[in-house]
Amino acid sequence: MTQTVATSAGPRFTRVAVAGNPNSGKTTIFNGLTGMRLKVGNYAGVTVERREGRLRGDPTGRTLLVDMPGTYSLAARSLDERIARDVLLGWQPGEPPPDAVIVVLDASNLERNLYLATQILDLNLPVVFLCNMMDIARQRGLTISLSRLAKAFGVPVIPTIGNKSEGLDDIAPALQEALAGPVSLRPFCPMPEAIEQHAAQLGRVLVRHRLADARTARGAALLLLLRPSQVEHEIDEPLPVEVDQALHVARVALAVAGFDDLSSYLVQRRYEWLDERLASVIRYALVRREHLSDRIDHVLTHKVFGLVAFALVMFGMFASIFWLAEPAMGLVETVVSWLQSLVHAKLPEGALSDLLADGIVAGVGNIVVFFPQICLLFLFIALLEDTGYMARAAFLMDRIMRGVGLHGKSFIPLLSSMACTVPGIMATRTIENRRDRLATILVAPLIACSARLPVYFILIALIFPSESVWTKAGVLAAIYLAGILLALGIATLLKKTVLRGPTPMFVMELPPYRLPDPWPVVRVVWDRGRSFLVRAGTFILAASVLLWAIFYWPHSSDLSPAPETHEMLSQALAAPPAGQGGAVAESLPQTLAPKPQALAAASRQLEYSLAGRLGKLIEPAIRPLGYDWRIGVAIIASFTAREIFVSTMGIVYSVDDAGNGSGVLRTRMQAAVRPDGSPVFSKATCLSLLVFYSLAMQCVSTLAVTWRESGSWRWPAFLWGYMAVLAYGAAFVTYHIAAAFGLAA
Amino acid sequence: MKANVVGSSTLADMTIGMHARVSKVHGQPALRHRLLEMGMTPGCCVRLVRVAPLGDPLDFELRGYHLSLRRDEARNVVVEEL
Repeated sequence: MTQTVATSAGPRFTRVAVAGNPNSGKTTIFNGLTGMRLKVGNYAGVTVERREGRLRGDPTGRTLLVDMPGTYSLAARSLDERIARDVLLGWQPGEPPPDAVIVVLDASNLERNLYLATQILDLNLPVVFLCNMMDIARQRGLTISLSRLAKAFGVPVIPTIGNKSEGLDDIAPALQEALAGPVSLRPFCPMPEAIEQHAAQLGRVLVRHRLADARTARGAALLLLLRPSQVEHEIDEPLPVEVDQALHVARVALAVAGFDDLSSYLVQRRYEWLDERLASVIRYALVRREHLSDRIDHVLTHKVFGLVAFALVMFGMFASIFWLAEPAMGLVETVVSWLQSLVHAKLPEGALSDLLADGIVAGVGNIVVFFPQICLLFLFIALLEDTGYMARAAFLMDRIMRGVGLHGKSFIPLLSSMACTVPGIMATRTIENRRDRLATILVAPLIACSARLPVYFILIALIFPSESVWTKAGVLAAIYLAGILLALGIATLLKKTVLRGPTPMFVMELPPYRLPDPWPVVRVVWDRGRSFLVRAGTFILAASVLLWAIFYWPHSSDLSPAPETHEMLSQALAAPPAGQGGAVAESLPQTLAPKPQALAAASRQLEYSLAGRLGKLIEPAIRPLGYDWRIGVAIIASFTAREIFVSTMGIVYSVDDAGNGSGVLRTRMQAAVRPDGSPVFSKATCLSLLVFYSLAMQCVSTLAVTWRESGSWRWPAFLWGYMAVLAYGAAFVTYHIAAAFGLAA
Repeated sequence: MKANVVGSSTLADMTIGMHARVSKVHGQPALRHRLLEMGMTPGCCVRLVRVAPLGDPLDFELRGYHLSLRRDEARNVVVEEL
């Protein structure tokens, strides 16, 4: 995790945290206040995004804004809430406590927004309220007296309309005013005597452990008392033993004093207090006006139209991903092959030029070729989130996801995995519960992604050489369906075993529909895409170089006299992982029309290399699946990306149009025989391979992203392991059943 | 999830467009705590706006915003019809 420590924040910088509910328009305000120069990273040790930037138009020029995760509370019930609390209390590693807090409030929904605000006020930090989306509040018939609001809470209140940048200029002076003002230690929302006493006692323990100071002690103690005891160890870091004991003592004593459901009491008390205060602040129009957003929902969550619209949105999303990503991917492939031939042309022949061209350039190509598809998927996900439709998707699909013990929010990540597992896994960040997020990540690779298509094409062509296109399409559809059903089945299983836990609660806000701001959307797409390139990319690059090495060594120069040999090999390895069917075909032969003898030499080098030897070594293990050593090599090679299977087969069978499933390669594969004269690619073997490639974890990018998102190497290891067992077992059974039907000959 | 409390109606029993006042919030501590924090506190007025196409979850309006709950969750909130 880089960028967690604010290096630019010396002691002379004023640090201001920006807090608020989800959907309060906080992100738009933050962008408006900081402009384009942001530092984006993660909070230490977690995948919660952290953004930081300087306040624009600030006369001192030394005000640093830190964006906090959007939360409804500081109870530390979810990871976001825990981070939000820790940022404010200075408990987050590498994150000094803020000097002031800007609280963004949704004016059309003040009560719930102020619940969080009063928790923050309890910490006695200088606070400024932004009453955001005043226009929507007015449209809804709400009249808000800002002066009374300011008086009731004792803080400056600025009316803003974030998406029109209205009111943002008033924030810097208000911050100065808040920072200069006296710090009041008067308790906001006073609690009954017994609670105040125990909070004070607990506060003193916190001060002793330097977890709080005189200002924040009471508020911090109340937050710890609010935190439900049963979630403590799942999300929260352990507290010092003495604090833990003091907390326990306080809870027991308060239970005896009649507060047996303390956390519920604390919440209710705060809302009661708020309702009293707000009675004079907000006036509601007598006639309830239906907001445009409600009218849109009449259609988009309608029994019939809602589902039709949902299907159209999803279909449109995928159609445009395939349609838009393909040219960009083709471009990446062309540039990669051009660079490779450039390296070979400019550098003297040898291991160095091969490493550079076939290991590094190919490896980088393997990463970059993902980039267009990932960015597009993130673009759509960002648009769905910012318009408010994402919550509706969860609302529409929850009934189905609940059946397998997941949340409606798991639907979009799983669906996105049909295009590419990598952004699908990155899209799980919206799932709050860690177990459910992991369950979603662990089954996403079972959904047939587009990189499997080239492999499916050639295998289906081998199994059904003469059947109609419709049969083949039907088989392909069945494979996709099987992948989805299997993912849901495994999710159920995971939720009952490794990730045991109750079905997550749904309780979810349906925010009003909004027109998304283009700039933040672009920003999110860029940040996430870059994060993939940098973090996962290094891992993928290393794996590609390693793979290159096992195909290159031991090297027999007399076996490969023609320089094209390695280019053939390299191109096979660099075959783009996203593979929209024809993509592989384009990349392989175009740049150099290889001579047949070069192809044959490449084929011989393959057998001679470590990879070839490994293929022979694992042959006994894969023979029960109906495979020979050549298929073994292809399986090893496709560890980085599945579609490499096709190009490896191209080398094995010395064919230069490997990507074309109906071409020479298919004929050669059909004609290939084992030493005993039986065909290598019998129908049984092909069926077994089809099953194996559907189930095995052969995508180093997915592993890299899983490692990054789960924060541990154990989960990718588990993912790889369970899918390997599943693939081997299922391929074994498939082969033997098919053989029993006489399909092995 | 706690079963329906005998003799009183819950959020899950409401019909579309109906208004009600929350009188009690039951359920597992985590759920109860979450519902309360979202503003579903005793005394608060709630309206059932719509039901998802597949029959679940439900979309409620309270305190000026929309909150969706599953039927199983809604069953834990006891209400008085208005």
